[in-house]
Amino acid sequence: MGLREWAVGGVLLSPFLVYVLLALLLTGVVRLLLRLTPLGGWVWHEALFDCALFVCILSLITLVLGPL
Amino acid sequence: MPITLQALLAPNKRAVQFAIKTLLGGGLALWLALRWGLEQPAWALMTAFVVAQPLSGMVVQKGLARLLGTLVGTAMSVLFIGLFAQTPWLFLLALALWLALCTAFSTLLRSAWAYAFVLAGYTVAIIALPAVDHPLLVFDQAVARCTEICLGIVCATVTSALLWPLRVEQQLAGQARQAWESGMQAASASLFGEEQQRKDLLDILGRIVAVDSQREHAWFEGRLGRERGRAIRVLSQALLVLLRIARSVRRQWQQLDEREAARVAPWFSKVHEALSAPDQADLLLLRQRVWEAAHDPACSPAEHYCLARLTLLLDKAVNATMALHAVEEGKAPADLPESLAVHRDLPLALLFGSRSALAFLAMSSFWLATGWISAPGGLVLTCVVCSLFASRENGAQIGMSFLRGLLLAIPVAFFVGQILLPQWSGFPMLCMAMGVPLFFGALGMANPKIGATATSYSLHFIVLIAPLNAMHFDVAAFLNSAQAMMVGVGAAVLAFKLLVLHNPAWHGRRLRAATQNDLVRLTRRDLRDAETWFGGRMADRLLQMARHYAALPVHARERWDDGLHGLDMGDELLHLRMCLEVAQVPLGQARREYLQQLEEVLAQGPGAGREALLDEASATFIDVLQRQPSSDPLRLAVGAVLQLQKSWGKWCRRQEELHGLA
Repeated sequence: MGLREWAVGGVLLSPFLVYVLLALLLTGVVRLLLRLTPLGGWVWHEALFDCALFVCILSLITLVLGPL
Repeated sequence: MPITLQALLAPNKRAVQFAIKTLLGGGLALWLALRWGLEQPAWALMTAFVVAQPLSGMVVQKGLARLLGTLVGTAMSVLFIGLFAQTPWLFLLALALWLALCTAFSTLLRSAWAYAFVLAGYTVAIIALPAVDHPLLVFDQAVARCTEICLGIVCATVTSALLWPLRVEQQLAGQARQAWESGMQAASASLFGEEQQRKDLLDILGRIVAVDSQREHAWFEGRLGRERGRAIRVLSQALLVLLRIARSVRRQWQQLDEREAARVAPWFSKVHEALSAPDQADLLLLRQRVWEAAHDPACSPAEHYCLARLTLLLDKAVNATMALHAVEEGKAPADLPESLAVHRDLPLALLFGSRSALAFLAMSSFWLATGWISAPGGLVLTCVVCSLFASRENGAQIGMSFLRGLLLAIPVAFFVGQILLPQWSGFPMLCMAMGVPLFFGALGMANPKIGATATSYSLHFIVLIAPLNAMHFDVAAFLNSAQAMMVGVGAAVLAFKLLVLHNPAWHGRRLRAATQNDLVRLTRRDLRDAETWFGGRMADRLLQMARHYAALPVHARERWDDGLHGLDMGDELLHLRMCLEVAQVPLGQARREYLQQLEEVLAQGPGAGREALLDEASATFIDVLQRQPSSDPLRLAVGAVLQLQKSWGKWCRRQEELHGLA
């Protein structure tokens, strides 16, 4: 996808927006997996954990998909 | 049917009236703003929606609070821009500090006027942030904001006063009667059982506090409203005293042995009966009979204390009934008690303030790092959400419903603002395009369950459309500002979720420390307003503890007991001091020494192995009291000293049990 803007009906959309949505989806999936397995019991502060997880996944996605 | 559908499709008459009132007020404000060529007519329309409340006194009160806050906020924004226009970081820091201060004060104030502080905080953000690029325009912006907010308030007040006016003071009488009824019930219930007491007590405390908070609104509804407001002050105090006396009667009852209890029991059931269907003449008659029974020479001291307290209970019930009549007739008595004091917690307020500041700084770093032109729109919303809901326990939840309202508003505003309006022109068409979605928004606002979402929907809808005399339509700008708003509200919700300041255990500890501190102060505080001061603060605290009660694990629920023990101790202490006051015997040194020791013990706080700390002092003081020529108040004072000692022992033993458990 690359870090180039998307033109949708003449409106330029940031690729980062797509990455953010993708990361949100992935975070949800990972969170669900964690909740189903005993690993979820180790989480101390849920909101903080989710937030950190989201940032990690978002940066991973940007790193992987960015240069493409 | 789901609540939302019901509120929108099958609204009741009140909701429709409210929606029409709100819409007309908003329409009038918008028309005038457009006619006079004001800079941002949307602000006038928004204000009309923000201050719209079902009752007219509330509209005036909220409007005034908003106006005051705005005036202070605009002055501060001009000052900030004047001082820091060249130094963005310093400007943002100053703004964050101001926001923190305002949030802290609004948390401390604990009344409807707290809204003024919230406004003073975020008005600065609303005016100063867009003016960063052109600092010379800040004065115009400030004047425009003030004018439009005044316009909105005036229009909303006029429509709410002229169309189907609903007044706070009319509802006040009904609410007062309900509070009085449940107060009598709770009092008579606590004469007998401990079960269900917590729920009953909470219910009645909640009612008292709710009725009492209406006073502020009733004040704006003419002479009758003001008189009723004053009478409510008397009633809420009388009910609180009634509840405390009922608990103390119960405590005295527990001290009786079986034979004594059997002799007193008939009086208890008579009082119970009288309280379930209270009539002033009956109460007075019964009081006289109990009083005579208490002075029967065959009575043991314990019986005497118990019956004397029962008399006091009946006295207070008569007082409460008289106060209720005063509310219903709208005639306040001449000698008013102080208004109910509330529990204030400065460190907690400062923490709430710093959370707002932190969220603001995080968002503004994002703004400065990305240089996104629309970011200030989001930043403003972060400020609004953070400071408006700072002191609510469910801040994150309300923030989420705010976000939901925004998400609903975006597609509707896109359709109306970008598709319909470019084809239509003229004010009537504008009204039609905006009026239909806003009518449904106002219907939702009338329903307390979906009120937050509906209010947020209406306000964001107005902001996103931003009606102007010369409209210009720009899809890109629309999408940008919609995104920025979502990011802004999201940041605020995240701040609420990440910095949870409502840790129940910590909160409980703070409340207990404050209770203990109050007890210490009660040993030397002036007696005149001590009842309202202590009673009001304790009621407030018990309510707060109760809110956390459900969130606590079972073994940690002792906080609530702590509160009740503290209440009992304070009650006995007040009773003792009043008895001593009435007795008017020169006790000088002995009284001072006893109270001082009591103060020291209370300052240490209850704990395992401390239950005997009061024994020696109590024995000495009782000895002194009994050496005085015998009189009724002195006998009651002895009873109170014994009760204090017992309550203290009970509190300490409770701590011991919990300690043992842990």
